[in-house]
Amino acid sequence: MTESIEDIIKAGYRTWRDNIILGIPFLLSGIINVVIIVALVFFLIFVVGYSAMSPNGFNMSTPMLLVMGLATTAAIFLMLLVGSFFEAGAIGMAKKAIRTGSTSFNDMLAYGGKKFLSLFFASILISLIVFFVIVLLLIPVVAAFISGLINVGLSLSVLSLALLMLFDTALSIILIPVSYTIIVSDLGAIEGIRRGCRFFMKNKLSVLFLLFVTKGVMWACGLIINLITSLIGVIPIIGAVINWGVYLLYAISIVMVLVPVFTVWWTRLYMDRTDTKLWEEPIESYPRAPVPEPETLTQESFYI
Amino acid sequence: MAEGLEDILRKGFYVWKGNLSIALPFLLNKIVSFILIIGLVVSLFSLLPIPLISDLHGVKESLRNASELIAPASIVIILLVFTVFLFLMMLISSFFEAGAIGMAKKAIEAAASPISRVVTYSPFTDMMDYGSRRFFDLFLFRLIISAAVLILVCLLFGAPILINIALSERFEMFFRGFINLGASLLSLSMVALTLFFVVTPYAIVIGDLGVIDGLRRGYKFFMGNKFLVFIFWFFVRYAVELISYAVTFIGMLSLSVALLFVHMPADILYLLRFNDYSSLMTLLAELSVVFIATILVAVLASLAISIFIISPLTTVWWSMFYMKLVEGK
Repeated sequence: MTESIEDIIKAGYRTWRDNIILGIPFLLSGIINVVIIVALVFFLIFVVGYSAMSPNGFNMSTPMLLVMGLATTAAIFLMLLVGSFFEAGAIGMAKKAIRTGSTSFNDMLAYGGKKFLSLFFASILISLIVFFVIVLLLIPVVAAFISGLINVGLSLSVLSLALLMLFDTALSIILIPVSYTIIVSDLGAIEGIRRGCRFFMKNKLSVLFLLFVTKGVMWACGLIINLITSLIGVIPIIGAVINWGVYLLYAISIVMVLVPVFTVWWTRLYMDRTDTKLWEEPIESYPRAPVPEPETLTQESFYI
Repeated sequence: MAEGLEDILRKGFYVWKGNLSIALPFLLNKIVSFILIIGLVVSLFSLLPIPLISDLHGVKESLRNASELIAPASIVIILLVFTVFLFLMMLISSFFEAGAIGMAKKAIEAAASPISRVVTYSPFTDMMDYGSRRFFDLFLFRLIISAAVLILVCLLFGAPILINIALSERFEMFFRGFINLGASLLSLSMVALTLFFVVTPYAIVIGDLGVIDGLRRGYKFFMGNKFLVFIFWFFVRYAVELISYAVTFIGMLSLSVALLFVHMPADILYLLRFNDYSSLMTLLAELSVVFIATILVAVLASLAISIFIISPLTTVWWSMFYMKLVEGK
């Protein structure tokens, strides 16, 4: 019972169209992140201003630097937590919408509250792995430089940069399914990462295909927005002002349309390839459940 | 048809792995065009005013000679040589492309029915056979597309420039906007042209059609199956990007190996402080050799990857796409 990618894309788009509310978590997450960043910037300016106002000129005392570092770290962790909460909520909403045809704000709160810690720990764990690999690659470089082998050090630094790039690219592709594993299959962080990697290994082509399609859609939207802005930009001075509005609208539409659609695609792909039930069994008292029908989707024009 | 496009991609990958000889036409194409480029350079040098090169006494005189010798006539000749050269290159690449598509078709058919694999499969004859049968139509197709692009460029960029000149710079405040608009329209229409006629080369060779029928079938197919063409094209495009990533990696590896052989002084500042220019120059020379070697390796790697992986693989994928979805085999 595997759907092809094109069916997943079509059905996922329909799911989003029937549930435009799917964009809400991403919008909220974006707004809260902006608020956190603005607050952090204000806080830093305040701290810097306070320390600069001290009578003996502009000097940074160690406690001030400590406070600034703490504030930045706290803000980063807060943003990660908020992001995890809303991502968990969004994937949960997508799962619900794919299964039953409709979803609500309560699903977001339920899934977000239930799974955000696992998702948060998973992202911390992944960052730790990346950090560990960077340190591992840096040790020989530093050792070579310290022992005076300059060209060995240079060569090793180029080599480790290449390896790091390779590792980063591979990791960013392999770990795509992790958050879907954690939420859809209801797993913890470590088990989620393990199963996510296994999911990728089993479905390399599908994951790559969907990744490339999402990239392509983003690229095509960029092309279109480029056309619109250059069309408006022909107007001498007002055009540039209007274009700021266009860019803002574009950013909002990415958050409200593209990201939720992508989430539904990934969730559907994951549910489909792991044999998670795509729809609930229709109960007698609930006969007209808006059930997506994957079988009928392939009947569109394949041949001319 | 339960698996759809993924099926095509998976099977296409195996067909490519089983038939690495599909790289042959692309390799020959590169070799022949390399020879042609050398020929072009030689012929241009023979056409250029010789005094300019040989008369090294009296630069002024030779410059005067040059301005006399680069007369309209020789410019026309040079342009003519260039045009002929371009056409020749296009003809040759069309020939080899047709050959490659024909080979891909044969390989896909052979993979579909294991019995026929024993019967006839000889890469070179197939290439020559398909190449010679349909290369002219493919050439015409490439010509039409290039002409369309040329016209678009002239229209989109030529018009604002002409208006600007005609209005004697009073158009200036709109000028940049129009150039930007032209650039984005051009990129959009290039994509549209590519997508409209993406299956046309395959229709010409595999479907054995003339150029007009090929264009019509390509357009019709795109109009009927926009979605499929879109996502397949996206996949092929980004897959090529991912594979090309290897070039960067190989380049960096070779750089890191080459850096081992540089005689790096323990303290670079020491050289600067004591004005030790000779060792500084040696160091710079060695470093530039290293960088040139790295670039050479990267270029060779990208050529090899393009010839042996990217071109054959995409040809097989699109041939399979055409055969499965357009002709329904």
